[in-house]
Amino acid sequence: MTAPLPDDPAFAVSDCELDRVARKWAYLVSMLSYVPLPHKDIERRLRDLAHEVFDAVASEPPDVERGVAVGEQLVKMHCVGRTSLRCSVDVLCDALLTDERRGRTVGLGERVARVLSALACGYADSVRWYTVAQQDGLNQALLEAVRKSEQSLHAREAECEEVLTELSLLRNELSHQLLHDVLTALPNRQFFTTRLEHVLNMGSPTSVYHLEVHGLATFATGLGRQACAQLLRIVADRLSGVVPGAQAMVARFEAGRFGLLVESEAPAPDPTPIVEAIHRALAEPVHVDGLAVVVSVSVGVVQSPPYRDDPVAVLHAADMALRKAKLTGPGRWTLLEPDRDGDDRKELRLAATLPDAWWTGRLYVAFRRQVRLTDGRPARLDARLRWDHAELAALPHERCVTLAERVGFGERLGAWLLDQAGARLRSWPGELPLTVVLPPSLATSPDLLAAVDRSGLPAERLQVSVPAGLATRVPTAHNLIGLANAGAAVAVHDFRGEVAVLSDVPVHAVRLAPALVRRSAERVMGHALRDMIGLVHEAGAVVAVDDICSDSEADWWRDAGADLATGPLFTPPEDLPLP
Amino acid sequence: MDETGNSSSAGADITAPSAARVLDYLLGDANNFPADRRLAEELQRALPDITMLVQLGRTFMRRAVTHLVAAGVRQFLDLSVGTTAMGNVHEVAQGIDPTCRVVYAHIDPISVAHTGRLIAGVERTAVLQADPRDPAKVLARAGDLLDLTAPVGLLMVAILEVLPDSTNLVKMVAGYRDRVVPGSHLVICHLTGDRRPAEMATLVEVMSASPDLIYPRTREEVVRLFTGFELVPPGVADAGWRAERPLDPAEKLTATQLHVGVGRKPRAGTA
Repeated sequence: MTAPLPDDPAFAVSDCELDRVARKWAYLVSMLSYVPLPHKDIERRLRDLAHEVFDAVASEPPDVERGVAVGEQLVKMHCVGRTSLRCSVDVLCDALLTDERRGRTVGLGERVARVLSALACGYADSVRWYTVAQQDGLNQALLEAVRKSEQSLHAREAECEEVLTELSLLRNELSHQLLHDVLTALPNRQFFTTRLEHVLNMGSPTSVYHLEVHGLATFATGLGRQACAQLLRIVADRLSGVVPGAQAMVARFEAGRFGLLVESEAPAPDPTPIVEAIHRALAEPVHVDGLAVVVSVSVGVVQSPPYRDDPVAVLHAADMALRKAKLTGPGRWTLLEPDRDGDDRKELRLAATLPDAWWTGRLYVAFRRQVRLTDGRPARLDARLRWDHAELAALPHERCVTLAERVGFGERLGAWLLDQAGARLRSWPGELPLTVVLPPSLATSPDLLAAVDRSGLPAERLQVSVPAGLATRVPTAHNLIGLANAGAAVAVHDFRGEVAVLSDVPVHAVRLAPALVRRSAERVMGHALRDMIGLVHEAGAVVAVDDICSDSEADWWRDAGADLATGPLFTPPEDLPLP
Repeated sequence: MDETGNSSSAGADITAPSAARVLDYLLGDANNFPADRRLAEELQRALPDITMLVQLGRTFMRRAVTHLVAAGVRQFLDLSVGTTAMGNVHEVAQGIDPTCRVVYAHIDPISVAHTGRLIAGVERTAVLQADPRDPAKVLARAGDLLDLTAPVGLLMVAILEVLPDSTNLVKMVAGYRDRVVPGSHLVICHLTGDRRPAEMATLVEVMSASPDLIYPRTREEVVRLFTGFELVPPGVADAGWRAERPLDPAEKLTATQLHVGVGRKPRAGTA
């Protein structure tokens, strides 16, 4: 370190001079740079620096290191504005060189130049380091920002995932709604079927109980929809408790129908305990709207095995089982076995395909002679339906009517029968009167008279036969009176002793029920049949019997007083198509 | 998050100049990228007194913070576009009272990272990335460091002019006002074209090359932002607000391009 030149008065700097320099310097520098200090502090700091510079110049030799340090200090103070170095040098130069006394000193210019150039060096160096450090820092910051933005991208992706999760929850909720019954919150048929499929695929022995609450429509009408809904909810609740555990599922199908799926260890366990549990669960009256309602259910049961592991087949069988149970009466149950079910299914299929057979002409009208038992001569014709089935034997009129009634086709088919009979009769050369055996639905139809009219059948040759059981009921009785008034003859068939028919309706002929005819050989039944024939005659009607196979039968009926007969005994034995 | 299309908030993009880094360059520092420097140079060519303008803004901030500390405020929320190399709010405030707490909230991720490095190891100071237009969120997050039951100095210096007109500034400021207690202060410094429209138009035009567009506003608009605050004398003024030394004529002229002010939230019922 070089010592100042304390002896040289020319270099002494007065406080007053330093103040002046500092004031000017601070003012100019603060215009060019943001020096984050109170202005007084800027002045004080710069005054110290100015003092340093003065001392450095006065040192022998001039203290360039102090000049460098001052340059560094300026940068530290943030006097880094574009022209602030020049400004600082100007201010210091001015102060150092313009003083008259100092100006006379030999070599002053060189001293000032050396100190100030050192200051500039210190400043420049400092700014360089400062800049490099800042650029470094900024690049680090950039990296950090990029990293963060990547992180936030990942976070956003995670958020997306979350949203997707929410979406899938929503989807689950939706699928819950799709798979559950809104009213009872039980699984619906769809869900039940899926579950059944799953269970069957697993090969678990399974029982399906198909239940129906009786008279639901009556409850709905009698108690109101709200109460009915409440009733169903309570039933659902009780059914849910019948078989505890995950081995069972209770579902509501539609209206008052429920399904219960029970997996079991062994194939085909006895369904009785579960059916009894169902009845027990529902035995207690259900209270809705302050009313005690007693609910009864029919139950159809199927089990797999023996049923195939096909959910559609099982559900269909369960449906059949329930129908059967309902037929046997409220509160009954039926276990359906595959073979019986097969028969029923065939029958239903037959019924379902009958309209198609009619449409495609495989169903036609055939005529059968009724012969007088006294002389064996034809007395009249029966117009009958006949279905030449591709696989089965020809289906007779009675089967066709039963099948047609199952699918609601009876009335239409009956009208068609009348039309066909009318058309054929007009071209028929003979004189025989004609009997048309009507399906029940046409017999009770208010359109019967119009249908007869449309057929063009001549009233004097026409006899219309209706089931005896329906003959006294209002719509049929009105129809029969109307027909009688129009001049047509009236007959009843399937007569089982409905004696009211004989007095209430103008009956010309009575055809006994085949089930009774077959039992003519029984002593009591034979006696009753004879009496019945007597009654019919007393009422002024003739008696016809069907399915007479042998001479002895014919003899018996002739002896009993029957008038007309049909059956294999008489040639030609069966229905004849008209030419 | 950002509906204005300000890409500065969308991620770290150094190819587009940012207001924060242009400001940094104009202050003589090196926390900037070539794109920032190019734009700053262009600004300087078009508006030779731009450097003076940014210095005046910074100096005002320093004086305002000093005033707030003197008024008893010990917590600060700085919503600026970014910090600069030196003389930031925490340095000023903690230089007076080291117990001062400062939270910086920037929208630009690079600004956040930069401030983060700047305040590394500094106590009672934090930075968060947040959109200043969401007062509830910003204050909720700043609440980790700041005690919102005590007065807060809200610093809106070098931020409001980059918020587009679609932002309801009055509502935004009110959102902050309603969440701080009486005794809190609002500091605003805002570019304006009221007095020198041609120069401001030039500034706006040059800055349109940056994603940070500049929206100068009128004195009335700035005054309205102080709704619910008592303005500290001399009220909304130019950058000569409480200057510590007489301004140079050039500075005086430049100072008119800023509307600055400090307001204090009064006790309930005295507003």
